[in-house]
Amino acid sequence: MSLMTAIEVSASGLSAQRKRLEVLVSNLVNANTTQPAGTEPFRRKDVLFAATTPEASFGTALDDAMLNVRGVEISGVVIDKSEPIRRYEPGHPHADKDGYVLYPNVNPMEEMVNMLSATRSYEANLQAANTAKEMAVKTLEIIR
Amino acid sequence: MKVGFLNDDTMQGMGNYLGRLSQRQQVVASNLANIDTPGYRTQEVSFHATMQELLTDSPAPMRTTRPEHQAMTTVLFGASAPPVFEVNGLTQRPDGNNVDLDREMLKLGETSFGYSMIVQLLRVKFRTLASSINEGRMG
Repeated sequence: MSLMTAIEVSASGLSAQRKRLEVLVSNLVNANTTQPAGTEPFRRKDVLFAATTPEASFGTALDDAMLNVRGVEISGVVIDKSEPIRRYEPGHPHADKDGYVLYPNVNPMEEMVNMLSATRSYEANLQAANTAKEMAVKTLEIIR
Repeated sequence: MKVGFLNDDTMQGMGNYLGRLSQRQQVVASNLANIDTPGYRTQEVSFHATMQELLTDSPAPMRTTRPEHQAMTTVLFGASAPPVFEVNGLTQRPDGNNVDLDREMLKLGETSFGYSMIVQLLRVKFRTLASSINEGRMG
């Protein structure tokens, strides 16, 4: 049944946005994580989205292909290669010989904005899944 | 034009329309799932094209015996392959994606409303049948 495909597609969106949120939260919590001098500091991560073809049963495969229905998945997590922030804190145990500590390239504001975007997209997918469910339930009302 | 109660043009048209609406629901779900996918283009199921197709190709035209007679055309939804097309004129983001959240939510509402409407009409149709089975008593 084609409404089931719609729910499956929305579920892929929910799952992808949730994973994105997990990555963003990990960036945010590590905003102040430092490493001993000479080792690589924590760098912010971001996700890559890619459109997929939803898994279809034999009956709906042709229909799905004609409609060009695409789900979504996280195709990879990439590391932001921008420079870490150097702060002069000579008393810090992780300071190098000049007194500088390397802080992660995380901007909390940016992460918050991305988190908002992920939340909105999650809500939109949830709404789409609920609408598909309501439509399926409505079909049953024909015979009631 | 088919007559009969369970397999007439209205029933077929409404059935096809429900099918088309559920296809549109799928396409909207697909657009929303890919709202953050770089390069994804907004898709849409066309309703207009199917209407045109049926208007020009009436299955059983009525006979016209005088020039002022007009042939009755029934405008119904066919079950033919849905034309899915990319929507033009939407604002494109720098990553090549042009999914507009508000537009998709509107489509979602429209689809849901249309579906409820047709279901209601089908119920009325069945209630009429039930009425004749019960010899005019509604039940």
